[in-house]
Amino acid sequence: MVDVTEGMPRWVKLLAIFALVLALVVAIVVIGGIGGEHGPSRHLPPDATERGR
Amino acid sequence: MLSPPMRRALLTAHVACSVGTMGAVAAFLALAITGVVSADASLVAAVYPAMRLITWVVIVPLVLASLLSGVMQALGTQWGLLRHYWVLIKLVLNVLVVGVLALQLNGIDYLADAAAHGRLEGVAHGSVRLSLVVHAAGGFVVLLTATILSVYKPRGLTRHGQRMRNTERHR
Repeated sequence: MVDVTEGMPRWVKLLAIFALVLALVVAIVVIGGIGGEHGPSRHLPPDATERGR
Repeated sequence: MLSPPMRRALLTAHVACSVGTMGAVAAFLALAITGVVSADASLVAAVYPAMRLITWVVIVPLVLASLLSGVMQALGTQWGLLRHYWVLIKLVLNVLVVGVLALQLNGIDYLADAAAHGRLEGVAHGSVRLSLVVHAAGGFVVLLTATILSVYKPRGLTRHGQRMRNTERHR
């Protein structure tokens, strides 16, 4: 019996492109500082980050 | 493979936990938006402890139960965990939700404590409050995507799935 190999379905490709665009937007927001300061400290209490300085 | 009664019980648990998570995140989002836009200080002060309660008592247990029941369901049926794209993508989305939720827990706890002690004012607090709105909205969209994938089950085998199918054919 011959093995049948299928390519990636179109809906997966579209979803992958959408995810890539979204990741790029998030990267621009984070690197450009548009969303404020990012990184692990963003999710910590402000006074906790001040204590660490 | 799971027996049919066990499979149905697990499927019921998985659907209940997944849809329940979406509802809880929607409630969380409504509270988070209220916390940002409301001018009523007493209402805003009440919002963050409620969000902490919803997070720890409802969202965290449901998200983890949804992930666990989904993995068990996939491994115990012919769907497999890595054979079909829709199952694999759902797994990735669920892991993403757990990761982002874990990163938000400190902020949620901090705002609830700040609200309880009347310390909600300030730029830093505003940033964390807005962050909760953005992440909850994103989480809701991701959960909705996972639900749509579960209902439609779009066709498509991964390379691993195709190899498995071909191996089974040769037997």
